[in-house]
Amino acid sequence: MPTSTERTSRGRRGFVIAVVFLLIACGLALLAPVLPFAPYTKMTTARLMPPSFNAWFGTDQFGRDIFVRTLWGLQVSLVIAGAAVLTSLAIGVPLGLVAAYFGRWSDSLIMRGLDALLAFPSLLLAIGVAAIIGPGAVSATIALGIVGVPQMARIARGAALAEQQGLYVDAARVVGVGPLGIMASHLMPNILAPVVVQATLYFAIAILTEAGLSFIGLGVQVPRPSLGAMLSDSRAYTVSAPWYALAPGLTITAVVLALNSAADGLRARLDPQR
Amino acid sequence: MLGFVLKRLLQAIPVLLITSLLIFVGMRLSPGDPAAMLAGNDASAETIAAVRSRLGLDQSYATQYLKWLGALLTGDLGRSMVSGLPVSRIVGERIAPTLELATGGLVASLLLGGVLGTLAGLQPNSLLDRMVSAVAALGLAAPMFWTGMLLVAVFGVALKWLPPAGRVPFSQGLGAALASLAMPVATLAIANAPVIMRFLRDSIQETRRADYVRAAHAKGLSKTVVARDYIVRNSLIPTVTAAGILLGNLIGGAALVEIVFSWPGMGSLLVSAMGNRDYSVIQAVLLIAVFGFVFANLIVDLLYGLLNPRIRHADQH
Repeated sequence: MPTSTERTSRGRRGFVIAVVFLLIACGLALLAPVLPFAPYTKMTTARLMPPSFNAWFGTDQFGRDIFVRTLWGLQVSLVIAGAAVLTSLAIGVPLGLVAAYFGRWSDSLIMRGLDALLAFPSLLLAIGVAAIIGPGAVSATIALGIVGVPQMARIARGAALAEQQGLYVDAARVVGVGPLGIMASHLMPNILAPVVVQATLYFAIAILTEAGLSFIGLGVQVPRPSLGAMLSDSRAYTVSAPWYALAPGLTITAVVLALNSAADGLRARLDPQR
Repeated sequence: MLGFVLKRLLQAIPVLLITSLLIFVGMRLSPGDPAAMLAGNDASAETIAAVRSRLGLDQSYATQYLKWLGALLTGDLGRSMVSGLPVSRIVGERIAPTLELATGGLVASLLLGGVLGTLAGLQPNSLLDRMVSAVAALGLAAPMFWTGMLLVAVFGVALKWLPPAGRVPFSQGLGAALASLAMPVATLAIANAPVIMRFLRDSIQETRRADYVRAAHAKGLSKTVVARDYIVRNSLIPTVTAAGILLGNLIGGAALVEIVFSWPGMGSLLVSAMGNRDYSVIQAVLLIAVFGFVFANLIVDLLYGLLNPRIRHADQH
């Protein structure tokens, strides 16, 4: 049976591997425009070719390099999911703080309103929002941003409720700091740990949901590649080009896996009691 | 117990009202004019206006919402803005396939997650525990529709063991129906069993450290008895909450799985209605999904209260 030190070091190794992988993947995806790859739209006569030295993950039905398109698709996923996380933070955290700080009717109003959002299965909510605004990158971002709000607000509220009991909050109030000041400069920094963990977890969920949205055609539109749309396209070639679906699918899985491991590692670091 | 049930039922009503309002307003804010679409490309302004008034779309939003709500209470979901058929009939044909899929997915996820979670929980840090955890992490990370596509490529196309797509109703033979259900259900289970598995594993590992478990060991009870009657039984209670998370995943996930397997359920109906801007169908599908989700969570809540008297009683104070 491994000792607890061995376990910790294994956990730390997993965390480091996850973070390094994320840095490399994000770097490649975000730098795709300046890296010396063919443009993602470049069509060739080499259609549906298996993986080779020239095209590491093969080519698609228009002879485009699947590896290059996967990188661009990952870039889209990262940007949309990242912006969605920021949106849910920007709306959810203040709502949670206000609910916790003022309590009573503002708490009930905010939390019951968010309960109504939680009553939608998240993918259906995202589909609904994307349908209202129309398909595209912006609407996918807004949809995913909204979907993330209730959970983010709950986490912020829970942490703020606990922090409010702290003497330093009373002290700040006594010396005349107003509600806004207490929330922004006293509560906010102290609830960051659980919020950061939740943001990392939601980043992973947002990437999965974005892939789902673009799989059914509600994500970023052609000619921009997206991982979900590539997977959707590949369904027509399951027999003739079975490798088509590998690169986009593996990419999503690996990035989500790394984000989940990073969140676990962050939780262990930031919140040693749990 | 009756008071607890009534209270939970009453709490569900405002949630249902707000969600119905959100869905209604959302659909009205959508781009595209359903009246113009229905009237056709070269329709005159008069024709479009006539269609609009026939659909009741020229009335105020408040009137439209109240009418819609009133009709809902009588089970009238309106008519499809595209085909003109009653929405209740269109949706009615799609409910059974989705329920089949979701029930199958739920049962398979509970079984798979339950067995693996128990084994992993009872042997913390063993090889088995680590393998199960790794597989669970993969299941949670892989996009559900991709897993489904891989299953189709392997078992449907390459090995030809199972039909690659489509649904065979149970009325046409049990074997064929189960064969058509196997891959979609497996897809849902691969993505959702890890949720149950993780909850149960953590819960069991926590229960193992409880004083009453140590006392049971000290009394000289056999390991099997302690594991079965003391640890696993008490660990099942918190796992019920995981079932709530599972239901949301299953309802949403079923939509994608239905697309992958050309399964004629509510999810594929929603996606096709989205393409046609068929508001009344979209509204109905979203509403039924939310009602189903709220109702299922209510049952989970009640089950939780039933299994754990502390919750039920704490609630009354």
